[in-house]
Amino acid sequence: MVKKLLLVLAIIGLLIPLGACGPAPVEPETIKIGCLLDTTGGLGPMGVRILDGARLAVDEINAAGGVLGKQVELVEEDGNTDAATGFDGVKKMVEINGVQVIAGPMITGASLLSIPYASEHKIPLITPSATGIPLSEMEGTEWYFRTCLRDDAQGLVLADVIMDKGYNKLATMVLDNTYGKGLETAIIEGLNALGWEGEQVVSIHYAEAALDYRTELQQIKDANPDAVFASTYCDDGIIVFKQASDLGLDGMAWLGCDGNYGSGLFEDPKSAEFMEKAIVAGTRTVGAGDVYEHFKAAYQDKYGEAPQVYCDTMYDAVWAAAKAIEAAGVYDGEAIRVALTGLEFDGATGPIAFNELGDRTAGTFEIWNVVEDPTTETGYVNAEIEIITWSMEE
Amino acid sequence: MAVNWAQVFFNSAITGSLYLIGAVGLTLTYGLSGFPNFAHAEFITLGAYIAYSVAAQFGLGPPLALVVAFLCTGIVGFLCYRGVFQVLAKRGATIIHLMVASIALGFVLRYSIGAAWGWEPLYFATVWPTSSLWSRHDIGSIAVTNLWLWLIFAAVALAVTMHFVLVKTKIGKAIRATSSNPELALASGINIQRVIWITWFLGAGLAAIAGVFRGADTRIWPMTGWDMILPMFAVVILGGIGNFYGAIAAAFIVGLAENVGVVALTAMGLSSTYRIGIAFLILIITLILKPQGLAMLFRRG
Repeated sequence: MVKKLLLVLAIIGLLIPLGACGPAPVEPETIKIGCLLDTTGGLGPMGVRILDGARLAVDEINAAGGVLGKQVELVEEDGNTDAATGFDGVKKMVEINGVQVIAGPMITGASLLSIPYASEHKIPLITPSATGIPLSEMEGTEWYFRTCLRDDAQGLVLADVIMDKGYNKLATMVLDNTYGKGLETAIIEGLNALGWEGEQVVSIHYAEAALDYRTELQQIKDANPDAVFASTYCDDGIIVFKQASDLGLDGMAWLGCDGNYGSGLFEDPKSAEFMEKAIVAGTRTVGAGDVYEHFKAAYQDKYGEAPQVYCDTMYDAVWAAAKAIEAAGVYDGEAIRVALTGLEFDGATGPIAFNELGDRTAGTFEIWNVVEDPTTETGYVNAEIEIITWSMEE
Repeated sequence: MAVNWAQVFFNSAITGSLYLIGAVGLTLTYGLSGFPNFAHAEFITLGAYIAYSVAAQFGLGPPLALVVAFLCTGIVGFLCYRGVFQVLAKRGATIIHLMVASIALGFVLRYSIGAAWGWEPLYFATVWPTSSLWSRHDIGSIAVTNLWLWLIFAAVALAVTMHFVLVKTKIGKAIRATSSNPELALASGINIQRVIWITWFLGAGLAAIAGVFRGADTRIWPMTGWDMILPMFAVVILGGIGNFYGAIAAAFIVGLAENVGVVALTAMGLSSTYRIGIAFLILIITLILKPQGLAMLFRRG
């Protein structure tokens, strides 16, 4: 009995990762920048393209002589659009690869888990795409920087759209996670602040993996709203739009957001057709200015397609990391964080500077819709309606 | 807000039909071989991928692709039993060993599928772009698509066919006999081994059909089957393990509970994520109150 117990204890001992005392290389051969993106799972199609944005930045940094006289190496980990997997990736990069700064995580869930860890291990994180507001309210948020804009910014822009179009009965079909619910809250708060006289007639929070949304969507149809706001990711968005089309919800005005922007949503022809017909406006952050034009051309040149959502913020995140290491003069997380707070440069997404919470102080949004385009593989493409500038002072 | 109950009931029928086709094989193999086969989820996934591949490669339409998927996955199901579970059972493996082995086999199949076809979702609409499956109609206040009607038709056809097979045919009687008392069946001259093989073949083949329908309704990816395994187990437990008629009733009860549940959850301002919790709840309550499930309703004498 005692022997057996000892054996079990020994096995448990072997299984406990020896992470806490991992190596922290003092004189690395290359300067490592961690990269945690979700190249598989629900956001996979988006993550693969965002990774291209990161690689482009690294190529350019290295072509310009690297950082601190060394070449930059991108340490890539996949978070599988899952909070726990993403967090594991962060730990692996810090403890096994010894990175001192990470561009990522891509999603809010993985960020929630990673921020306390990052603050404990003194590793700054720079997300290209986690837009949840609660992330700025966490302890240790000073280690968390964003090159994207927060949900409240996007929510306010969407609230403006709803006011402009005069929608008074709003339905919401949002993902049951911090992203979906955060955006929904931001819109409603934004609308209330603008003196909206309408009401939210039905609110659906759906599960990403359920894929059977007929009765959820029927609730929206029965409520007969003026407009439906949908915050989805890519793979589940396809199913939502496909079933909405089958149930005859294409007569209503639909509003989209950054999560359902991109050609990934057109993989199923029915989803593409529905979006072309029903989506009157969606939002996403975009770049503007000379650096953006340069980025767009370089990306198109290298990957044969136009950059999609968050490719530009990832490009900026990697550049911000490189510039901060250079400014710090040493490859050390604490020094890099200090350098990031004082950083100011023109990125692909406009002038980049962080406030005391690590959030961007200004940015630009695009209002988009979906149009037919026979020259593309799917026959559909996102089109720009207008560009809106947003800054924190407003 | 007036709820369109007709549509909710119709949606329940769609959900229930899918669960029925998927769970029949699970309940029959559970009853005959005496362990829950978790790799059943992968038969669903595999069926969807096989149908997709033959449609993409050879331009097969939905009916032929369905037949190929049924046959190929059926053979895989038979091989899984013959190659893994029968060998283990012969060496005296208990239900726990067999269950763990089935979970492991499921992992092997799932990640092999992921390696072979990739993790990016695939869509049947891209291989059958002009199929009439996708067209939609309004019947009264109910919105339907041909695919949904075919799915419900398939479930009804399956129920009727299986009823006649189980009651009228020799193999059906052998399946029932083996399921209720293997020793007696053996003593009566029934080739138990062959009965079990045929059941595994049929069960996996039917799982493949569920996979094709689920894939056509949503998408195909390596987790297609695994995403459905919990409600299917709820169907098996509620219906009574190994009981086909119980499974029919249970599939539609779970389908109804989930969809009516969504209406209730929405009305209460809760997330519809909890619809899966309804399947869980049914499973637990059945296990506590009536572990034999609905089977008692269908037992004669």
